[in-house]
Amino acid sequence: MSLMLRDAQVCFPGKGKRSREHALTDVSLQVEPGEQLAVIGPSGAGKSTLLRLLATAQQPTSGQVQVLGSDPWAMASGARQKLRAGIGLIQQSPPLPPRQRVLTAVAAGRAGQWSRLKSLLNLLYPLDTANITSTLARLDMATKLFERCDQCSGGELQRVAIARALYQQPQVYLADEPVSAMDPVLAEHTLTLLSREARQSHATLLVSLHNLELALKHFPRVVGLRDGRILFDKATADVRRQELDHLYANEQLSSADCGPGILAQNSKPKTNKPRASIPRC
Amino acid sequence: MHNSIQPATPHPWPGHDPALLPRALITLLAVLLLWPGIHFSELDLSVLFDRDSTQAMGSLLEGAWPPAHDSVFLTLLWRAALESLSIAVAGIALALPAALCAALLATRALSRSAMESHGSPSTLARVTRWPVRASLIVLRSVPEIVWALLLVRALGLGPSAGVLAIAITYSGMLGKVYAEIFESVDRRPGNALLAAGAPRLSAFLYGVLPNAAGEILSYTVYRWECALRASVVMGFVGAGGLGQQLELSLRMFAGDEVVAILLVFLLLVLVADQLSRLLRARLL
Repeated sequence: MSLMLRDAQVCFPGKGKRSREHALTDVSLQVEPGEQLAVIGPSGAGKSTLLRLLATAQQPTSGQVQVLGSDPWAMASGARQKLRAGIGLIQQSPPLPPRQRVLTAVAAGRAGQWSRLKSLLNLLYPLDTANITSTLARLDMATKLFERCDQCSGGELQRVAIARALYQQPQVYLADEPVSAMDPVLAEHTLTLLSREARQSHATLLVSLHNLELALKHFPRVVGLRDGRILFDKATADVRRQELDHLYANEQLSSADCGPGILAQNSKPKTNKPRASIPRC
Repeated sequence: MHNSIQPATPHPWPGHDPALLPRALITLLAVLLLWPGIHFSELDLSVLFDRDSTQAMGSLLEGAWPPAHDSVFLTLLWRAALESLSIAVAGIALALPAALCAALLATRALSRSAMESHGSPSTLARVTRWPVRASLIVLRSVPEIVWALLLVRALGLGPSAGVLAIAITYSGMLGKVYAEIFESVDRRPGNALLAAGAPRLSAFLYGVLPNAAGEILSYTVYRWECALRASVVMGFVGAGGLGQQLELSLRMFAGDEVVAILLVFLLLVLVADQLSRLLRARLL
């Protein structure tokens, strides 16, 4: 078993003192090694939390998590760090320092495998330029090698983040909206590449996507998530139009329930982490 | 998620800024705390215009212009300035590695438990960070001039007492502020690396340092400038440099020499300022 969740719950402290927001409720999921699947759902459905949970970046409030066959929260901190080196999480707005060069940002993918000394030396002089260049070249980013991250556009930053994950060579790829800032052609190309690379290295690939077409086209299995619960989890061929409508239509219904616009805006709950605004395609 | 959309209790003053009350209270508190400070320090500017004080100042200012510029004094001044400069540089250089190590241990920015729980570090992590924080407090709670006085007894008159005094106090100051700078920059890059299995040092090098480098640099250069001034003050208690020269000139009421020394101070601080600007422009 590559990834396994059993009745996992994640709660965040809410706005009020006593309130707790359920980001995920009773989520159960099983993913075999080498499997590729997409998680779809409306904004705020808990997709990012689900990915963070699977990446062991988030501890479940209750329930069980297993990644690569072991429970990350039952092991010692040092062993957990080793486990994490095998998980590549690609975030929607990539957390890359603006002044870091693309070369260094990609090299940081191996920070979990390299010793501290090697990491330090690589900062003084890049040790593996050839591999990093070829990784970037697959994403059509080789010319940006020595540019700084703040000189990259949103779509380019997402590609740097993907290059970092590829360079990390993990056993599980977890990608949170990895192509949201790219144009349709580039998004298509990048997803194809990601899926091919994962297949070649026998790695598991789990991608959360806003874009339904991409999800249905590229992935044999689709998980629908809404309000922190799994609505359906089935082969793409079996997904019916009705289920998809249900998945998204409810969002509009519930926001209409909230009444006047200002109230709805103010009370729109979102996780408390800051988010860079990246334009969507 | 929708349970938090419940209508809040109706507010008596719709549309008001919820931050207004806390801000007003903090301002009030600050004023209340500052006022006794002025009262108890017995700040009294009228003493300045006393007969005695004006006379003393007058005699000093009488021979103040032009500044002393005979070659013997200038060589003396040159050597003293170099000595002050090297005290500051050596002191900061000794303080830096200690401060960096302590900051890395004390900062919460590299806390794995904080990353995992989406908030503050676990109790255990906080308790183990405390000794480091406490030792930084001890290092900087004693002013460098007091360290200099103690070390002059132990090491004898001369610059080495000044260097050690600066190294001790400034490692405390730099360590505390470095740790806070690490915490104040964007946490997400460092956390992302910790979540990808990186050791804390690597997460720091690749996730925190690039964001913090500018502030670290300018604060360090500013502290070096402060160390320069501190080395001057410590000269008064016999730790060498410009201060020792200044004390001699003050004692002899040689106004022209005092002015010349003060001009050198000005020049040194100016150089420090320009250096800081140059470094920031080059490195950022």
